Amino acid sequence: MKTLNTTLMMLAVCAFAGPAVLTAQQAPQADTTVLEDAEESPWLKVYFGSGSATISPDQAETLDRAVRTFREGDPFVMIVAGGADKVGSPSQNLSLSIERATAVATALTNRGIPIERLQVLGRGNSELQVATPDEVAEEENRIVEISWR
Amino acid sequence: MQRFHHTFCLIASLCPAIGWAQDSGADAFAARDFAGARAIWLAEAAQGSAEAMLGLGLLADRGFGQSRDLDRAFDWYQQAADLGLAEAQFNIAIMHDAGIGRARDASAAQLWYTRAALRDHARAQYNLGLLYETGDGVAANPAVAAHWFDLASPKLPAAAEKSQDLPVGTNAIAAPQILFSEESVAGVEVVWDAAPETSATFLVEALHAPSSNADYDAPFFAQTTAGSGYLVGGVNNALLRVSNLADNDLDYASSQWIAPEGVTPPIGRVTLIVEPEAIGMRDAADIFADQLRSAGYWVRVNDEAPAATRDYYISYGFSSDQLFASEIADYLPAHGEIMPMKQVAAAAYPGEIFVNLSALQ
Repeated sequence: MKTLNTTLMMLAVCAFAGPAVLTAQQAPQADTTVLEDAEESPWLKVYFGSGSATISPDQAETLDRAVRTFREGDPFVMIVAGGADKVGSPSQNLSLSIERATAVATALTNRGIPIERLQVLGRGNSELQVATPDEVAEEENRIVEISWR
Repeated sequence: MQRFHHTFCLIASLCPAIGWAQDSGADAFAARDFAGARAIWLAEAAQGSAEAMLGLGLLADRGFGQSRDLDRAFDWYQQAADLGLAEAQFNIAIMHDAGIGRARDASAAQLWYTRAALRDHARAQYNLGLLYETGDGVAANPAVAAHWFDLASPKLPAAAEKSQDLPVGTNAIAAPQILFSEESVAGVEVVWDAAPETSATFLVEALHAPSSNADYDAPFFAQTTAGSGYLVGGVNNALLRVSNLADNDLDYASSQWIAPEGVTPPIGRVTLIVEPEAIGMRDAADIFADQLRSAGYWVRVNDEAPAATRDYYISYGFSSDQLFASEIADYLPAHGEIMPMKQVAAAAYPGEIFVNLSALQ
């Protein structure tokens, strides 16, 4: 567990402007778009409270659902993308989105997803689900999306 | 050292481009030479390699070096799974569970998660625990869920958290329904469905049928588990049965016997205990034994009584066998009505009766 946190945090510090992509490994890169294979990318969403990066118990079911679709084997990659609503500064929100994505990644490794199969990214306030002005608390933007390919 | 490593990686990554042969399918795959990996794995799969079949399944599943083909992926996984490769069994289970490329089939997912779980696949143990915990398409059984979460706990912290919260202990029982059994060189594998909210104590017995008119032996394998499957190593030509035991040890409900072809399972087991010095007792026991055997029971005649049976003429280990014991009592000589007794510390297996002829005197 410590290894995971260390790895993710080391990668996290590198990212403080714009969407930050943290790859836990050099995953197979022939086809890099996240949206391909729509059939198997249901974009599970883990919701967070305002300003929080803690996963609440009622969100654990989503994580369990995610591990029940993820097969064993080298080509599979699970993408964990954190977001934040526009309350607070953009840099704070980028950090928060990374913290949220890291929390979800940790919860997934606790469920047996190998760390090298995970790609973790923080989007901050970019690519929001719901476009809002600054300082608007929007639940749909306080999420970590899980998808896989 | 690091520079050497980088150089080595660079050379390795160039291999497919300059046409060097790869040593293994995995090497070719790692170098992203999918055509090369496929060729090697096809040859190995033809020789019966389950790992190669898994590799071919992964290529088809992700569409590497070919168009994506979930049916073909499933077929390769299935072939590897049938050979006992846990990762492939797990992938088959996932495809059934999540309905990937097919309609969801919770029973099939349950079976294949269990087969992988029996081979120590932690994620299969966890997912099987989730199925039993939530009753998602199968019977909800928290005690069985707790067992599988427990097994996954050392590897998966989430499983350790789950297993703490689940209630265990119930006297409700139901005959386990056998989902799968297979005898192979590795032994016998059996997977069953636990009924909702029943006890998670399952006795797995394996025994050999006696040759005609011979005494039966105690099971050469008898083990309890809180899970929903078992792998019994080094077993062949055995009868196998799974019994759900109530947590108070009073009652049980058994599956049908799984018997090798041509072997008739017993309708019950009866141990006759004689005193070797008592004149005529052995002869009488042999006559009873013949009668019981021709009625379909397995019988043995012993000289020594286990402590739990010593004081009783007819005794049984589980309350569920009271009626069976009364039927046996009707076969046997008695002055007046005989009341079969429950052994205090059960010496009998489910469906086994002890008759201590010297206790009749």
